[in-house]
Amino acid sequence: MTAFDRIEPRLPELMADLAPATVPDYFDEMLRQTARTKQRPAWASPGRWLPMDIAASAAASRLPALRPLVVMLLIVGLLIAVGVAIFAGSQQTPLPEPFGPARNGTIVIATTSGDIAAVDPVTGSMTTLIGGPTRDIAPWFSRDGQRLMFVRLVTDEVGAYWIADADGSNARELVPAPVDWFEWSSTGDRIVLTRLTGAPATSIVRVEDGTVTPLDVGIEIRNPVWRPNRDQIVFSSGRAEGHVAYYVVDADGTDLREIDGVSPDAINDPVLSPDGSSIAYTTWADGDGMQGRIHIVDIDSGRDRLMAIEGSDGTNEFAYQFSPDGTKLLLERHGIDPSYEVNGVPGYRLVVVPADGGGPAVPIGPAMPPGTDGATAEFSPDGTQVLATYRYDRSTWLLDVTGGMGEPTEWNADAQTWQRLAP
Amino acid sequence: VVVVDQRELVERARGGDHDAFAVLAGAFVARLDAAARLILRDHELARDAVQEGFFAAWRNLPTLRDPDCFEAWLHRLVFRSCINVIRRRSRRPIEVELLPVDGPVIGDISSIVADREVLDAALKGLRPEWRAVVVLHYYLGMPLPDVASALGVPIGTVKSRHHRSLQQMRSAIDAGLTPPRPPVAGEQYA
Repeated sequence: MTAFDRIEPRLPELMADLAPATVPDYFDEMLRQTARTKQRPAWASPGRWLPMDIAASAAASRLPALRPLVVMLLIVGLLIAVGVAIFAGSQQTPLPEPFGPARNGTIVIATTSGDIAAVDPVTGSMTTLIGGPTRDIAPWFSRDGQRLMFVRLVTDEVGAYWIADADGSNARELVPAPVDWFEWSSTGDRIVLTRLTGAPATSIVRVEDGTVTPLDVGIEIRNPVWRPNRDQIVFSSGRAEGHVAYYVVDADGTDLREIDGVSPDAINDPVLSPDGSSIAYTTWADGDGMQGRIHIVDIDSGRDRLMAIEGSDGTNEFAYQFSPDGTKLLLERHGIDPSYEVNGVPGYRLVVVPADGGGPAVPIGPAMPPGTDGATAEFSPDGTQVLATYRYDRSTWLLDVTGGMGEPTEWNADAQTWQRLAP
Repeated sequence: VVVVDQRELVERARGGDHDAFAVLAGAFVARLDAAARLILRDHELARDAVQEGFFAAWRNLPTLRDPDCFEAWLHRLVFRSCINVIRRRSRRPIEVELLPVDGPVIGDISSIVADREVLDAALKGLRPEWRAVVVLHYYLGMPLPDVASALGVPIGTVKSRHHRSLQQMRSAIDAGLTPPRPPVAGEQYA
């Protein structure tokens, strides 16, 4: 027996001797400091991280007794989908430009029972596109509205990447599990995906043949999105204390640069303008009035401006999305104090503001109770409506961007995506 | 006696209850601080890394979706802070810590002390990234896939580092590596 053979079985106890586990003398001071530090809101990063928290509910709701009904719906759905496909094929409609306003197409949702379904936004009728015993979540249309990506869960927390035509046909696995984030390229021929399970890794995948090319730029890549009208990827990367910096890199992994001018207090995903010139982001810093402020920075020049938004005293705001024409910004507005009211209504609301900072902030949709985790929301392709699902009660609403309460839909979705069509 | 389970504490802390966070932090800080000291070989750096990890935990707790994942999530924050510290500290001299044995020791004290010193020197000879794998696996008892997740590196890399760490430690110890002399308080070794 060598000396190491003698020591190896005792490594845990010898290490415990080397570094006794005692409460460190800085512990109390550390707690005093954290007590003075404001927590980030739960809604700070809704983004398009796969909504794994709904996987369990999807599994729970998939009761065996419902299977025959699901199969019937699947059959009916497939028949309708085939009809839709034949009709669409006969029309040979032109494709929309990848960015800018487009015509509203079908809304596709992930149902609470784990299927992918198409919803007619006018009639509310629902057609199952991807059904069966699998649990499918997170549908996302390509910019041209021709293809859908979605995630097929293999466990409650791990999913593989699937792709299908817009009508649900030709579904096939593109990337095996696990996948944690994805985004279409402007041209729809590639996707960028990020895996966090195990070791973080980002890759570019060619849709046509599934070829995977690692995107390794030497730093952590979070929330990568394709920059409109350029073959570049914009992403965030972690800084100390939960803050992020933003970077832009060519899609082939070259010419990495940090975007200048960004506040060191930035915390969330980059929200790109439709023309690809700038990003909106949220800052979160200690101090009164320093949480939930919206900035817009020009990607190339580094010019950064703090948006002066009407009625933002005593609120936190979080940027969701630019309108398709780039003139408006969809925000979520929270009261800092739980008793805060938004326009006389307690809680938080979605707000549409002019992207140039001038003009009124228009609250839309219902107010939700404070601290209830926000919503997922997006503009309709034509920019006249907002489709929002509130995490508080999982209700889905169609909202008019000019204001008002809007209407809850007859369906509830765990995730949704709106097809863009040529005007 | 009120028994509060960890999940409830996490849910309360996630909702902004700092007292609940303090209870959680108290439950984990001793072992995480010890592990950070083993990895970084420096009290000050370990303190920086642990504080950074706990700060991030408090600040980002509302975004933690599954309360049952709190412990693994906290480990990940602290040990990624350790890795960040390693990357930042390249020119800083490293203090070698050798603490006296606390509490009763059963068996041959001189042998235990000698083994501890030999191990200390062998650990010191490892690259910090490799040492992190050894500490998480043996000291904290984490399976290698969990080590990979905590450190943010591929499982293959962790297996390789684990294997090579043990090889290097074996070579050093079996070659009769001389234990370092007891350090003088405040003395630093390069």
